[in-house]
Amino acid sequence: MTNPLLRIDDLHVSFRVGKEMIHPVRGISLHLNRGETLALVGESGCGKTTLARTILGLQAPSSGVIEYDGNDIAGLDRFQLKRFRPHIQCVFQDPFSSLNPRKRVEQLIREPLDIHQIGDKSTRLKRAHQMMERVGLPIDWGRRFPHEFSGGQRQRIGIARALVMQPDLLICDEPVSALDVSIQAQIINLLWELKRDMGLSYLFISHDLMLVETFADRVAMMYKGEIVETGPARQVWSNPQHEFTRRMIDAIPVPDVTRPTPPAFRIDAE
Amino acid sequence: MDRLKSLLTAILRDWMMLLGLLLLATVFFMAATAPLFFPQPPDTMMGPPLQWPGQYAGAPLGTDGLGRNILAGLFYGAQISLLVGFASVTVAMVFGILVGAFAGYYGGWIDNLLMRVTELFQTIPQFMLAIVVVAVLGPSIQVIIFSLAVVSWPAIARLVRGEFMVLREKAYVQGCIVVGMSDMRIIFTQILPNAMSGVTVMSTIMIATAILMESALSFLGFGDPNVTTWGTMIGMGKNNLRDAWYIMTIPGIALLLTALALNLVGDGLNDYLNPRLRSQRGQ
Amino acid sequence: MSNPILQVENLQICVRKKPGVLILRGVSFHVNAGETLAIVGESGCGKSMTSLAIMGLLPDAVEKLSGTIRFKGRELPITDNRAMRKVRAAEIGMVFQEPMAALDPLYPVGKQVLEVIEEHEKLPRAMAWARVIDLLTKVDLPNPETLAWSYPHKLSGGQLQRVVIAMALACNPDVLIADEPTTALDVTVQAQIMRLLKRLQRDTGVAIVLITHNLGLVAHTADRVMVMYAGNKAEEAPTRDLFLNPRHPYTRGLLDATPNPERASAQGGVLREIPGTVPSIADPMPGCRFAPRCPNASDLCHARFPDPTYEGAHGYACHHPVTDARV
Ligand SMILES: Nc1ncnc2c1ncn2[C@@H]1O[C@H](COP(=O)(O)OP(=O)(O)OP(=O)(O)O)[C@@H](O)[C@H]1O
Ligand SMILES: Nc1ncnc2c1ncn2[C@@H]1O[C@H](COP(=O)(O)OP(=O)(O)OP(=O)(O)O)[C@@H](O)[C@H]1O
Ligand code: SF4
Ligand SMILES: [Mg+2]
Ligand SMILES: [Mg+2]
Repeated sequence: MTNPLLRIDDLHVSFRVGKEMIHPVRGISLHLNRGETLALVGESGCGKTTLARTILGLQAPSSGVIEYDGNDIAGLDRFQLKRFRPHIQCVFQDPFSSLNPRKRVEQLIREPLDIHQIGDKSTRLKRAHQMMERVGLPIDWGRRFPHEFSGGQRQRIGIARALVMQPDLLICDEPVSALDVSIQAQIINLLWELKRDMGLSYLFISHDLMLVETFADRVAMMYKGEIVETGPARQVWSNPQHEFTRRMIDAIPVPDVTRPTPPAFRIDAE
Repeated sequence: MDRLKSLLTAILRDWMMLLGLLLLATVFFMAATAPLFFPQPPDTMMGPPLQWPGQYAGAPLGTDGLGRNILAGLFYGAQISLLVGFASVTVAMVFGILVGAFAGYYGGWIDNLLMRVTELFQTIPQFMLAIVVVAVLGPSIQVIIFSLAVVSWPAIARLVRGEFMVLREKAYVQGCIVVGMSDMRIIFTQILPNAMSGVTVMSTIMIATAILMESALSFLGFGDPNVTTWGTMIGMGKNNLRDAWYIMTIPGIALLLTALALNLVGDGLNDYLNPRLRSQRGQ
Repeated sequence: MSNPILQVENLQICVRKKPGVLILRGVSFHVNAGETLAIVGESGCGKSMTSLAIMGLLPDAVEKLSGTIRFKGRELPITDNRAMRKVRAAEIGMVFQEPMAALDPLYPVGKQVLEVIEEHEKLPRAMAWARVIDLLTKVDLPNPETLAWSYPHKLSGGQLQRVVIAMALACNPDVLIADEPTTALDVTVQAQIMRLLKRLQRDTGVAIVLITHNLGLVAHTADRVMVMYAGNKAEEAPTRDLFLNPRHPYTRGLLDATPNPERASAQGGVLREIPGTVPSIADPMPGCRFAPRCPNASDLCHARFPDPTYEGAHGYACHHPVTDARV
């Protein structure tokens, strides 16, 4: 068996807010294989974003191991992390605050290449244009500013910027929850195609169990800073082991009128 | 009715900004053309002393107690006022932005330390501090510019720090870190441009304050003795206050109009920059 | 048993002073007494604007161009703020997406419910307070006597939304407009809030207008659905009918784009998407506003806006409706 691309072992994150210490990640262990999509599902405030931020080096862990391709990257400083940056990228939830409003689109997409000095100026611009085309943005929109785009288009810009360095792992923190259903489908399809064509692995954070089941290979259910169960979505849904998973599944309204109303919505039982 | 009112206020606002710009342009014109219209230095005796405006053809705005041409004084004084105002605020901006940016971006002990220092400067009344600096280092234009920069930078530092604390939490800044950008590059190319609109407005108004303070220093005799400024002119006039009040009033009006102009421009800029700011933040 | 309590006719709303920039382009619909009508559609299609118009709460930046809103047969004076204050809460209640926005952080939540009651009814303080406690009990809040004295920041999102529902129902309105009441909440809390709303509806007979993005919620809580697209009503039908027999291509696209694992296997793990984006509200398109994204579009669609067609209770505005049923 080959090594997993990402392996997290007994990771703890805690930090001080005012006078209190909070402990949003409490001993998480998980792994993500190469080419796999692992969904991280859990209630609001359970620590999903904190976990993602820690993997990305935006938040220092208090203890534990984060192993990327066999290298422990937990707690590395900014300089040491720079070597791994091209490999691990992310897409944020809010398409409005995640792009610098004063940069042109092609500048935004080219920037990561500039920082890591990949290729010369003209090849970088060419790569940025190729990436724009790949995510479905016309190249002649490259000189526009982010505020001239819709939410879905901005999310495409964010994806292009994240993928221009050809990373192996993309961490998506609720990448479509701010988007409309019809636009959400476009972005999910794009992510799916990119994964197929570029051999990406995804850590996909979401609230939407229906979406997770369609899109992810495995799910990790997170509850109050811990992973309570993992497995293929279908298997976890059909045979939930943890009380929290069961409650969550009972509460999903399937968009299908031929299916029975889930128990959590029924009032006749009262 | 409401619509009419909003239209009127809109025009009025633009109109005031226009007035401010016009006044400011006049001051710049005076500063630039002073040696052209008045080849003699402003402190030379040009005619009989204490001539009222209109009384003596060589000095349309009259002469002071030593026979110096008041109009020439105004033109040359404009040079000093603008130089002192812009130079001191530029120095204050560079320093204030550096301090504010580092404090706001890094937070923690860096922020604590820098903000303690900033507060220290703010506890001493501005004008007192300026006088002390000039008294210690001696009255010269360079020292006055330095002293006014010393009293102006804390306000800019605080403003910039506030902006940075908000902006550094934005997802786009986090994104820059993830992409591997260095702190300096993030601070100066990603955050600072987005924090500048508030600083621009504030510094316009601070130029007015600096010009007023320079005049006050000169009035009190802390000015550079080698140059004529509006403040020294007002100071000279106070001896002849009863019989020749125009000596004091004319430069006083110039001073007020310049300060007013800068404030009008500052207000206009604020209105102009704010709506754009809102749309850029995607609200 | 059609018994319309609220009737909106040809409602047109534009950006103030710009009659060409239409936010609502002539929307008509009705709400029957005691039913749940869901309004769904793309962000920006005018769902919130419709509900704000009914409440007489249109923002200053927009104005009504034409149309009438009738409540129990009489026209609502939606531009008269004084008159509308009597209508709000007493006859039509409203719940927003962000419960925090509807509450004042400086007052205990019970006081805020009390205020609503006292504004509309002359009651002795003690009786009004008893009503507050009764309401907080009805919305399933634990220890209502203590909780009434809590400040908003002490409560969770779900609890806050319950308080807002209590406020909206304080004066027994006949209609409750809920604009994305659960979008900011977790799925488990969402289910609790929806069940609460349905139970209150069963007990009081209040009609609910549920504005949402979530087609799953619609499937299990609504009696009828209205689908909006870019300021128009695209389709309107009883829920079951709409899900099984959508006639408007946009409705069809929306249903197919919704993640549903039961259907996904056939599509190879990818969702079916609607290409393109919504037109800008300032775009003066003569024809159907969905035409640039529509698989059925013809020249006629680009030239002329389709008139609504009705088949019983099922109405749609489309030149070339979808004919095959969804399985
Ligand atoms: N910068 C911060 N300051 C204070 N508290 C924080 C901060 N970041 C996270 N927290 C707290 O840590 C906990 C976990 O937050 P986190 O954002 O990781 O949750 P999440 O699972 O991503 O939630 P959501 O689904 O709402 O995005 C929460 O209780 C949150 O209030
Ligand atoms: N104050 C305003 N001035 C001008 N246009 C506005 C204003 N408020 C909203 N709009 C426009 O009105 C249209 C309808 O907005 P509305 O809030 O009703 O959409 P919605 O369907 O509720 O969307 P969402 O699902 O995002 O809540 C949008 O296109 C919006 O841009
Ligand atoms: S009218 Fe034409 S363009 Fe519009 S939805 Fe129907 S078929 Fe599509
Ligand atoms: Mg999160
Ligand atoms: Mg809305």
